[in-house]
Amino acid sequence: MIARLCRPLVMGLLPVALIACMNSPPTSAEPSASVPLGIDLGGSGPVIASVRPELSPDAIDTEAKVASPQYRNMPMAHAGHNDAHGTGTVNSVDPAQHKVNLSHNPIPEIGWPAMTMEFPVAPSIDLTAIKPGTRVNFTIEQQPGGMYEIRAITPAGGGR
Amino acid sequence: MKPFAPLAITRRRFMQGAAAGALSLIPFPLRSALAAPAPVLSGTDFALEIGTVPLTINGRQAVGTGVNGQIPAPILRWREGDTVTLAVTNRLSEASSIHWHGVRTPSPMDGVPGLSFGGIAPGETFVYRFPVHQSGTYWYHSHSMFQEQTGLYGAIVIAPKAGYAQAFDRDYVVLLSDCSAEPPETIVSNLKFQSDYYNYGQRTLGTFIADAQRAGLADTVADRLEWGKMRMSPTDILDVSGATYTYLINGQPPGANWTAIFRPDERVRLRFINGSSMSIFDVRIDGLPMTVVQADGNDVAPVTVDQFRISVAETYDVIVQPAANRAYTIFAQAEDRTGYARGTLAPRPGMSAAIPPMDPRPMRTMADMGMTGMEHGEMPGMELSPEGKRLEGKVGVDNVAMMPAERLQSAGEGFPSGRRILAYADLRAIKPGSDPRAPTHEITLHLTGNMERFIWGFDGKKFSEAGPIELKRGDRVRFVLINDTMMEHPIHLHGLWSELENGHGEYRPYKHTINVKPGERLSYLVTADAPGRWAFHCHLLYHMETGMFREVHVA
Repeated sequence: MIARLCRPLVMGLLPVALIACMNSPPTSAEPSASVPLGIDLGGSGPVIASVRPELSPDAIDTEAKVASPQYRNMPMAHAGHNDAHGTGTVNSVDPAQHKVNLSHNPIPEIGWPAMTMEFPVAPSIDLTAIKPGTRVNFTIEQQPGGMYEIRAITPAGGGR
Repeated sequence: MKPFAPLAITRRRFMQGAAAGALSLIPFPLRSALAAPAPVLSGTDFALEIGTVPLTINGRQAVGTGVNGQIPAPILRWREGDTVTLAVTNRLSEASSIHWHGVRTPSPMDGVPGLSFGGIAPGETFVYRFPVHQSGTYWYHSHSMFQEQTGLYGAIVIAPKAGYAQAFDRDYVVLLSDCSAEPPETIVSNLKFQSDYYNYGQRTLGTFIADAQRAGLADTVADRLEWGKMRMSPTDILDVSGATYTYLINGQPPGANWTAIFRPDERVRLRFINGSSMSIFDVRIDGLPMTVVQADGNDVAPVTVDQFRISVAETYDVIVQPAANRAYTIFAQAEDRTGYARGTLAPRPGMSAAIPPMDPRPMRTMADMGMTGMEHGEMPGMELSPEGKRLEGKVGVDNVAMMPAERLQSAGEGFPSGRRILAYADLRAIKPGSDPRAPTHEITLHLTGNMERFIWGFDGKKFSEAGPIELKRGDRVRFVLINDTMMEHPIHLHGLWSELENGHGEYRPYKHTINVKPGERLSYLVTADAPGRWAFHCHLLYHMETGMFREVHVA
């Protein structure tokens, strides 16, 4: 009974509440008043001293990095070249798509931390010599689309 | 105006509360019983009211399930070290419940009807009360019927007592979900009727010709025959797709453009939560690398990626530092590429950036079938392991992975190469685990299913056919999961942490939900330090409801 009385109240109170699931048609102009805004829960406050890992330079938006003076000295795939060298261990090889999956050490030239990632490999490279578990030295080169491709890859000796 | 019903704690409810422990007997302040429609609730005392919410989804009227009239439910902000009291009133005409996902509560406060308590009957109030011993990003949702699908989910943000490990200037919850105008009962009955009902990416004669031109006719025929023999479709990535779902960020469809404001160079923490019922998302922000600092509420060594896959019920906290005075699109594609959730990071409201094209649709490979390295010709002669033979032929099992592989280095299928994608192997806890003991025994479970019948289970058994997994209090055990199915399964163990064995020694990440890829074998350690009856299940709602659920009993 009380629940029934209260239901209209809830509905009345909550015109705001459910835009959820409501497919408002995307308008071209998107007037700012109608855009649902996220609620900022605020900053971190003082950070605990023991662990304060700084964001890697890589975490900073690359496009703006070029323009912003504080990052002007950042090695952007070192000046004049767009290749970089790394070492790592092969996790898997996909001959059909000509790709390899590597766990690589940090690549300071381009500010990358150690990562596991998949790379396309230049068509000229024979992948049959590359087996999962092999430690490798490799060179990657940035492609026009911004992606990195392996241009050279050789066993470095020693397994995992 | 009369406020809401004075807490309708009935005698029966009181008795259950008494059984659950004296904590829930503590009277709840009546003034808090007026459920306020605030999108963020902070403090130690909360009044939450579960009720229906009318919705319009793609022009169709539907009835959702919300908390305090809201979908998603309000963000709850707690502090580590506090004791929180939550009076939950059920205004629905059916029983309800709330489970605090990833939060380590005493078993009677865990909110699973039938295991932790009796559920919350219509018109009744159940008072949850428990101390908060952890910090991080979590969420809460109904554990009754399909109420989670229809909107009963919300974020929990617990501030760390000692302070954050990373500095940030702003902090936003990004809660992803899926939403449909079709009632969940209709969706599940469609799946039972035809498991690929929502799969409109099926391979056809046209794609057969295209594949034959690319791969050669013989290989294409062999490939199709092999999939045909196994009665599966390689395009079956998610059971329920954008054919019925609209994907949401904080309750907003892509067109609404949910926006988070930043000033250039600020560090922005984004707390991604996948509160979907059935949808796994691949998240990226075009032009903005993301530094993952937390997974499932626990800090990890920061790792910078371009994209991550977030399975159902997982959480990832990332920090981004957009330097340009422009808008960035937060783009969360459904794994099967049938739709996406979209929001915007922008210096001002009303801005938007281009919405990138969707990535190629992932295809299941033979590795997903647990057949890594096998040639087509080897099929007939393959020998199954004894436990595989035990499972084969059960009605609930239509496939057994013959060579399950460790695949933690891989983020899964469907990513273009050259992007840095988060893999489970990248997650390294920032502090060593709290229990250095080696496990004394192993529990191996196969994740099994019969796709055609839409039956799911562990070891070929539905929940109704299996007894509980018994653990002794204080036990240290290793769970080994082998996924024999073609679908991913986010496996959630209530009440106890799952410490993923991903190659980082004692720096194993602590998780509450572990996504097991098709054909994958993985393991995690569990300390049975909390007594009670705990749910253990696949967090894909319709998999759980059709059998992939067990009880873990710690005595």
